[in-house]
Amino acid sequence: MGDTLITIIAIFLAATLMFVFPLMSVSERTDDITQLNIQTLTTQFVDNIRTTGKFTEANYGTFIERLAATGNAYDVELEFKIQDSNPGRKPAAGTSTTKIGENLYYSEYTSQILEETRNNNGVKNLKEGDIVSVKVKNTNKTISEMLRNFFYSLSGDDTYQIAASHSGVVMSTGR
Amino acid sequence: MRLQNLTVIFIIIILPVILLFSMYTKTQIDVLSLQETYTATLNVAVYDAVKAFKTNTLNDLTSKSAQSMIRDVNASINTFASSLALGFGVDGQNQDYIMQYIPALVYTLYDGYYIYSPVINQTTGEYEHILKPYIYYTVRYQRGNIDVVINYTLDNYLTVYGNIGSEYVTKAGYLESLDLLTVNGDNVVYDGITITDSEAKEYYKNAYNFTQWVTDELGEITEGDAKPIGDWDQESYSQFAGHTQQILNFENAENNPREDNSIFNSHRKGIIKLSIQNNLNAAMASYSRNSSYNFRMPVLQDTEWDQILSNISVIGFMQGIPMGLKVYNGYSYVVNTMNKEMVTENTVCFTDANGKIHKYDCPQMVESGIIGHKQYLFEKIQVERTEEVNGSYETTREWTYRTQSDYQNPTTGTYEPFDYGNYELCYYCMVSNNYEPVITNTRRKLLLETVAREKYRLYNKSNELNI
Repeated sequence: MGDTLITIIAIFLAATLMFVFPLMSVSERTDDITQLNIQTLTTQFVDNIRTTGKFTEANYGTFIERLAATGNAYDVELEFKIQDSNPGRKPAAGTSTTKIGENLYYSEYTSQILEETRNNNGVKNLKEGDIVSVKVKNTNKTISEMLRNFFYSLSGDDTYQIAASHSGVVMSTGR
Repeated sequence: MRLQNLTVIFIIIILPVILLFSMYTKTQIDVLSLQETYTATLNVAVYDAVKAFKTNTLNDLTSKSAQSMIRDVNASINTFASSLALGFGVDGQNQDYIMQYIPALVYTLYDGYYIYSPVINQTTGEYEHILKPYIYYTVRYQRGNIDVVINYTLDNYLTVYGNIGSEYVTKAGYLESLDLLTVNGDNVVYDGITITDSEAKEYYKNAYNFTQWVTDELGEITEGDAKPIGDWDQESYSQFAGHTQQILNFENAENNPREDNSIFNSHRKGIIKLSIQNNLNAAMASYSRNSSYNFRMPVLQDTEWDQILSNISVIGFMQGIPMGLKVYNGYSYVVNTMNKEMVTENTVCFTDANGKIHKYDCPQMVESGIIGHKQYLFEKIQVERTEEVNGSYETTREWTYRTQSDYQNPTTGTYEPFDYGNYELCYYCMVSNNYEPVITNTRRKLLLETVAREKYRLYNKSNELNI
């Protein structure tokens, strides 16, 4: 009787050790590689916008497709900070004109950007000095997350396994 | 064997595999993130170089003369070097350490380009970076009794010199489509729009005469007649062999020198690209001869070439930095759209009666009191002022806008003071850059005249030579 119980426990432990742990490890590596992949994709995407000064629907579509090809679902957040160089243009009497870089920015977010792009033949032009930032987070549960949740679970809205972000200043005015 | 033993053996086997695999993945991730850091650093350095070049040329009244240009390019290279060194955390004396990984830096300018690359110093036997002589976008054409060299530029300006029959000719000018442009005495019509601005008229008249001459004398030249200036890169020009399209025949309606896809423009871009590629390849190959790393020119994509060949730009190459499992090999380019070296439809802007700066097709532009300008004039400049205060001289520096005391209003012809700082950028076109374009004949005329006028006023090296 005692032996049978031990054997059952041993089988259970062995199964955990032999299958679940390697599986967890491998699935975590997969996530690492996916992470790497989407970081590279995001950087390329943002750098392309920065050098050309253009955000195009075609490029965005390719980006989304490539993200999807990793087998996960992602939430992509775009933010463009548009430089408004007007406040600095007309200095009020008595204020210093020596300052530079006192520019203000206003932000546009994903839905605004996409809507504007759609209304403008699929292209949104940016100008030199604007700031582009893109954040990507996974929204589904990856295998490693599921396995991990089996042992201990994290709760909350912001639990994501794979995330990438990149940002930078636009380097040339898009035409 | 007992189950427990089996488990232990399994774990002994599988654990190192998993550990190794995770280590390998980790190294790969590190390498890739390092690569991204390097690319970002290079990007920033190239951007800084462009920024420095822009600031220097815009504040320099003589920036188009060769000596002054060399000075500005050198200053820009210094900025590149220090920015790169800063990015890599090596500064001061160690700057040279990072420069050894820069096989080339290319400045593509209006009518030619500079390559900054290492060459061997014959006295010390070591590599030193130098700015190589300016290379024009030239090509030679031989056909029948025509043997001419043509200098291309980033736009429709052309310089021709060489023999046509027994006559030696040197001529330069702008090209316009003879299909769209008609000049009849003092009457200039472009694409159905009558040009009234006097300087724009002069531009079109000159362009008409020059284009007519080019079409008459050189019209029969085909792509296949293109030859290198020297003997050493014959092979690469063989790609043009057998092409029978007439590149300099502008009576052909398909060959509009303003259209991006015209025969003239695709050939022009092909020639410029070939010239840059050949010289860059040579520069990089000579550097790698004595080095452990084989420097090679990366293949730039067509879309990248397209950007580079329609704007003044800087391309930076960085190769050979070891990083874990790989060796870094990357490049970065930044185009400069705000300069005074060339005038395009995109580098002019318009002020209206409301005191706003617009693009020509902005829906918010009030159609009264519109004046066309070169856009860079609205950028801030730094001025230095020396004043006598209580017997001693004090110098103050400040950023300010340009003003002109006797600005000739092109629409009215009167002279008046003009303050560039009094105008604000339009939110629709200049700030957010997204709008529904409104194109009317009045606006097209305005654009055509402004571009023509500014091109007429532009300083070209060959103006000086009176050719």
